[in-house]
Amino acid sequence: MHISLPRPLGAPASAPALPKIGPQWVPAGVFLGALVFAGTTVLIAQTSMETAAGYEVGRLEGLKTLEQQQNQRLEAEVAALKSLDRIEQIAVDRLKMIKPKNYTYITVDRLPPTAAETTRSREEAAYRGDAASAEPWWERLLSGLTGQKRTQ
Amino acid sequence: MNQRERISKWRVGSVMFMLGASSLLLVGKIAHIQLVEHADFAMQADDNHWGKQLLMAPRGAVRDRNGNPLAMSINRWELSIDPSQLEKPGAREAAINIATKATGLSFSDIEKKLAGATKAVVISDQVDYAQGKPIAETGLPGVRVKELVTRAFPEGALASTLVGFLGKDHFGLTGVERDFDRDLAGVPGHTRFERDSIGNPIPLGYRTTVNPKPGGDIYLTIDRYIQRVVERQLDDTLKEQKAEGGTVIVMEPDTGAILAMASRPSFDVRKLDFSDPKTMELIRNRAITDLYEPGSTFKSMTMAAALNEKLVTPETTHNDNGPVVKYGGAISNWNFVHVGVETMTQLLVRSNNVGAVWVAEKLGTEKMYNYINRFGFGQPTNIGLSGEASGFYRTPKDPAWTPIDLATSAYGQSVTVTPIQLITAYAAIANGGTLMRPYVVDRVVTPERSRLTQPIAVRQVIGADTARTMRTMLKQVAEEGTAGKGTVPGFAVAGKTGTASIPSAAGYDEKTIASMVGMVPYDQPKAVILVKIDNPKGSQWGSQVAAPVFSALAKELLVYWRVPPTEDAYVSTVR
Repeated sequence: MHISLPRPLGAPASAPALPKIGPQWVPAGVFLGALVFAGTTVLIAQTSMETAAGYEVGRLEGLKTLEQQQNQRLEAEVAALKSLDRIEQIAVDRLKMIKPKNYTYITVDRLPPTAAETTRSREEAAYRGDAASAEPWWERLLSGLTGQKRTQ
Repeated sequence: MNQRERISKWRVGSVMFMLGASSLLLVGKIAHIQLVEHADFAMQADDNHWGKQLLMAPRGAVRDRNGNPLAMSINRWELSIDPSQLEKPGAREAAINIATKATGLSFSDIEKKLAGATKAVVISDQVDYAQGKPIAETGLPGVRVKELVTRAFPEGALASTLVGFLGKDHFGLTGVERDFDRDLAGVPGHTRFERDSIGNPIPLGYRTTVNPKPGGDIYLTIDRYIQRVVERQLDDTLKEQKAEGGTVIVMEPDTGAILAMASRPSFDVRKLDFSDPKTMELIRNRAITDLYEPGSTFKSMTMAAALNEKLVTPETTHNDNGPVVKYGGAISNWNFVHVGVETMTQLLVRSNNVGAVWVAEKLGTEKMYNYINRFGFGQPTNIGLSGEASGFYRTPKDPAWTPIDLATSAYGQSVTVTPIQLITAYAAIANGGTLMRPYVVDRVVTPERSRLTQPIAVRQVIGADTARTMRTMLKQVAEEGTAGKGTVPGFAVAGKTGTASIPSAAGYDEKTIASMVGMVPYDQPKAVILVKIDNPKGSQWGSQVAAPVFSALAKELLVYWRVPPTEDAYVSTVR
């Protein structure tokens, strides 16, 4: 059954025909579609990369905080090990060192070795297991002068 | 219209009116909520939905001049378990397993702690930062962690009055911790996260974090080794002399940098007990807050002023033929011995009061008080620490001033000073006459920038020649005079002792303050040392109590700095 509805007042008798798209527009359409697709893909990829980078930044910041805290804890440990109380305790209890009552000043007619020389020669001597050479010259000198070893 | 219809209409009208009015009220209330109270309700909704966790900024460390930490923060976590949120099967075991890993406690130990508990129970407050961080981030139901910051003191109670301590809220309460709180504290950050209806974070919910800005490190001018030597020497002396207290300061005269500053009684920051009212008495830094009459150590100022004004020379003589009676009061020497004619150097060597009065009168009121002012007395040194006292002396402008004040101030009475003022004035004699502003903070280092303290010359008080002459005179005092026990074998030192009576309401009582201020080596001083011992019982004299402390400290410092001794100190030559 066909029902025909009354035409509204003022309405055109029939819809105007759309202009026909010729085949010459097809490549342009395809190009436009590809462009939209590419743009969307780039946008999605960019958003995805941004999100991933955001997570990575957060993760690295967390790691940084963790490392900083670890660093702080280790520094506290180092400070405790280097504290003057501990050094003195080791010097007195383990190395049997005593505080000098008097100081004797002597002139040594020779240039002191450089820090590098001293370290190298001591390390070499220690490596060879040569305890006598490992003792620095000034300690041997003091031992000779005072007649006693600095440490027991 | 009959009566029934009228009543019915009236009823309908009333109901309509009531409905209309209540609708209007409802709309009004909604409008009020939406338009007027919107912000409040939005905030409440926001608070319900969003949780916020404060991230404390790591507090900077207080270090000595070589970077050794004296106070530093270590972050830990407090882990607690709330059994009321662990009703799902297996949740309790899972929570205990997490706590076991984080705390190192056994499963059964944690079970015991939780037995019968209905509220959150603290399992441990010593959870390592690395262990607690994942728990904080995951936000598991029933397991809570709270970040705790512990202040560690690797050197123990060293320089405790100077360094100070923090309150429970982690703000500095005293010392450098308070005065440089803004630099040390940093800026806290926060994490904002979505949470569920019972307040737990939604594991995969939205989360933003504003990282805290760490606080800066304060590098003091203090050298921990020198500070320790000073504190140990001070403690030994107080014990030996059964003294009430004492102060020792070591200053670098060319810059005003404080190398050590110790005062007793003091406190151990690790054992503070605020339930004891006496604790509050221990926390002040007496080196800058406490006033005392300096006694004979002040004669150096009087002499320096007269030398600088060219009113006297070291060889100028005066005749000390007995006590001087001035303005109704008799002024005698400390030992009641009057030697007759003596030079200005001898005056200082013997620490002669009568001679000092003669010098002050030669200077006159205006010049005398002008020099007292120029040496920095009666005003804070601006060392950069809070609570510094100004000290006091009367001038002719004060109604209570009498001419005897001029005479007594010449030998350090009727003048009150702080130890830091006196050592700063002596530093001017040591460095060629320039009054330096003392300072205890060498630099502030934050992640963004460094702030260095530059030495500040306040003013030229005396000429370089006068300063040199004064050092020579004070060297003689150390070698021949009252400061004889302050000498160091192999080195020439310069200094002056003082024994000051402590004023009371009835005049001066039996208690004394024994002190010595001096410099080593005398010709190019590397350090000025002030020693002040309060009410010593063994001996009351500065020459007997303070001078040996000065000597011991000077010896330690010279060896520490490897300062070569004088030529005659070498006993042999080794080739």
